[in-house]
Amino acid sequence: MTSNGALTQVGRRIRVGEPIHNAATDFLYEEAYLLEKGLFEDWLLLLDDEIRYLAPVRRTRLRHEGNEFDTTMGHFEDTILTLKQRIRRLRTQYAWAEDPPSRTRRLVTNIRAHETAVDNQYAVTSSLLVLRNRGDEPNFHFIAALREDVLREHEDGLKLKRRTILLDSAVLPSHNVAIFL
Amino acid sequence: MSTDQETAVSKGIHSRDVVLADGTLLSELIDHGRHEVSLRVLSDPEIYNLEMERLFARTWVMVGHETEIPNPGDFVTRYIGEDSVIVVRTATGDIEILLNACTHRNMQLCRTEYGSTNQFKCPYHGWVFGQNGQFLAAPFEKEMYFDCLDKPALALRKARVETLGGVIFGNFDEDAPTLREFFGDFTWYLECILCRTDDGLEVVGPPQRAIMNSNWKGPAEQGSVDGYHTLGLHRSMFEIGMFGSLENSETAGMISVDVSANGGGLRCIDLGVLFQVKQGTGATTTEERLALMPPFGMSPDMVPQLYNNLTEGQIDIISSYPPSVGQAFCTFEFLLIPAPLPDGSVGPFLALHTWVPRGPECFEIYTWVLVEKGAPEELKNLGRTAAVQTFGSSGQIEQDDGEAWPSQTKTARGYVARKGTYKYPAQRGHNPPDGWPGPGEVRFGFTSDDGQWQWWQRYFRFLLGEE
Repeated sequence: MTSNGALTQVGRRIRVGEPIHNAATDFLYEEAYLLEKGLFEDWLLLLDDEIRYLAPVRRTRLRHEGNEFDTTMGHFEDTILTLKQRIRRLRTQYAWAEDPPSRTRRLVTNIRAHETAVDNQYAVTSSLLVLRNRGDEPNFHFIAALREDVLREHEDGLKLKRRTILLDSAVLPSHNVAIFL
Repeated sequence: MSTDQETAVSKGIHSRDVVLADGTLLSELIDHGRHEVSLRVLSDPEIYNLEMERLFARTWVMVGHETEIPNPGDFVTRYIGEDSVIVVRTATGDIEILLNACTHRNMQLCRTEYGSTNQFKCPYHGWVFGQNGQFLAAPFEKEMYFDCLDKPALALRKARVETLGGVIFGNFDEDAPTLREFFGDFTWYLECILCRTDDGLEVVGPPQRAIMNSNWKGPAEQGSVDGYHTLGLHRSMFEIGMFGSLENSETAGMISVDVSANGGGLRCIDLGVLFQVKQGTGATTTEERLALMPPFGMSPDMVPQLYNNLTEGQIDIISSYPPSVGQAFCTFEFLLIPAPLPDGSVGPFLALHTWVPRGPECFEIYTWVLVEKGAPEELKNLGRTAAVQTFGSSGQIEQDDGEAWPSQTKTARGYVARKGTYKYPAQRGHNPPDGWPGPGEVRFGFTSDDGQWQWWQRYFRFLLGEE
């Protein structure tokens, strides 16, 4: 953990309006759209082959005791291969957890970006609120998190190299994370 | 005795039978002849309250693992039923389970999930308690209370503590049998999973926690043990090649040695099938089998440790039909499974669950991943990765269980549906393979409903005050 609480060592802050900030924002909006629409194969194209996709477990601590996250255990610990397998499973017509699918609305906001020590890589954080609804249940599950991403520049645009999902709850408020965050 | 109880006794049934609000007897909710249980148990708040009183306050409930609190002062906060408890390692190295409620005005004493302390101080009026639950002091004690505090009576309520393979269990009933007496013959099989090595198991980080809109008996009745549901609920795993094939009952994983004892049930899977895949032959001795495929989560050089910790019979079944999935009565589930990973490797892992009730239509699922302390790092990492991939919050297998349990509870809200029953017609009875060394009721062949039915039988024994 760095002094500003981020998991990634960061450099200069990239301000709103700078080209990289625009590109990162555009990337995250596009990603949210694809996930809302269930276009998982297109979503995979936004991921770097070396992606690490994590969601460390969170436990309640006193303020002075510091960081609530424990990276030794996560709700998600994925690589490109496991993410691909998840999507293969979703397409089998037997993935009951998501068939009928959840409806998700993803609000992505508070996007902040920093340069990193690596030239074509950027540390991007965003606030995420996912509203999840299933079946004839009128209410939504709310899943809120801060995402700490590393976006890497490729020839064809930015790709997600690393995502750490810092959930805003110690107990998952939805019965599982069968949806991507 | 109340009038209701007198009526029940006069009917010659049970001494602590209950007449529910609509006049139904609790004992009428289980049909021993037809092997059915009323679905009313999934939604009725009266029954839920009886469970809290007669089951969760009287049985051994899993609250954690020793390695979560390795040093004196370490604690975690967990639950027994809906009672919050502090599980603490005292200065002398013992484990105490303290009710997490200040004896003054019931403020929750400890409001963090883990930490280290030698005293617990209540935020409300500042009363201080020691690691053994004893009342130590109050602010300005003499001026506020003079000598009128009955200090021994102010000690925190405590649960009895016992461990098995490092897993910590608590029981609020002073008169309950010991943990091993409570699990009975099932203990033999738990040892095969939890007590294999010299250094024992350790947790990998904290447990995952999630809330499910389901009665706790959704997973509990499945846990004891429903082998049949993988065909339907986990069909997707077959479709993507993770689970063998649906070609016949053997390739579909339906053939096993199922064991039940004292309301616990488990499945022992045939390593001969795995060995066929791996070596092309199934005929080997115990030593040869262990050399070819060490027990899940152990490296080959660790195999000799089995002989320090387990009996010959236990080692024999570990090498041929290892216990792999099951549940001890009533909410302690374990999974010791060699999960295939998408890169072609196999990730053998141990995961533990407990189901914490939060009302008739809600429970909290805890998932721990454990590894053998002495295992090589790569094997530990493989285990952790495989466990998180397959079970728990994002588990590709367990996601679908999370669809079934809430559905059962939701359907049981219906007046008409509630008049229906859980059914357990597939009863096989004792039919062990030749020379099976383990105790309990043992059934070799296609999986069945016996274990789950016996879970209900013990459940009702507790609810009816017969145990």
